[in-house]
Amino acid sequence: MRTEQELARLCTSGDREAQGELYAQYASRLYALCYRYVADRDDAQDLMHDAMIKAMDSFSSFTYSGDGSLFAWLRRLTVNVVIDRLRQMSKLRLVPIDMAMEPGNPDADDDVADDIPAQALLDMVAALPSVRRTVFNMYCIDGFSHKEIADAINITEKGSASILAKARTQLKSAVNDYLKRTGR
Amino acid sequence: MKQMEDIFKERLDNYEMKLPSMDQQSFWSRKAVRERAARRRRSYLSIAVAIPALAAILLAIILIMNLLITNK
Repeated sequence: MRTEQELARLCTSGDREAQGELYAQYASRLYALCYRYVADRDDAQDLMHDAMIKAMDSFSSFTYSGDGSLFAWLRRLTVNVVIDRLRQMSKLRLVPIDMAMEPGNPDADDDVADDIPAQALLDMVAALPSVRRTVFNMYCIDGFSHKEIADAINITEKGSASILAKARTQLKSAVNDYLKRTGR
Repeated sequence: MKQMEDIFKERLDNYEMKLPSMDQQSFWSRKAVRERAARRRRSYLSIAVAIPALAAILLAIILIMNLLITNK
């Protein structure tokens, strides 16, 4: 298996074999990332393909800066592809409605989520309404700031923070329900 | 104690989902379609640039010939 740096260098020069290796190494992670945002397997596959094609076409803009930088770059690019698509599909226009909704008040013990399988956690994120899911993913998992989120999906920074609080509350409730259902 | 979202991050950050069957084939054929479309766009663009250029050259030749004939 090639190193990240070597793989990036070969992909920049359009090497087909290296592109295949890139796909084999990162496709399933990017597929899960897309699914986290769109909560639909077909759409997630479609977006992952688009992101991979875009990455392969724009490798000249990638700069290697240590281990993990290739995935970090692919992740940013993929999130941008996903956000663009969500915008086109108008799935992010529900912000005012979402912001008007009252959060619930369950209070799950934070530590217990550690026992829950990753796929169950992913399903909980996928079950969030589109805007909450987007903000939660961008802020908590993909490391965007409220300012970046606000710019990306056309809301205010305050709005982003408020949506995030509601997403957290909803997820706590989902964790509680899961724990009750599974008798933990 | 870990925050709930730290646990979500830890578990989902590098999470891998099993790809649908035939995923690679569908990816490469999609990529090939995109490349063909891009090539076609490029060739349409070159035609769109070449036609007015050729017309301008042709017009210039006609004008020069006209001038030469009138001078004679």
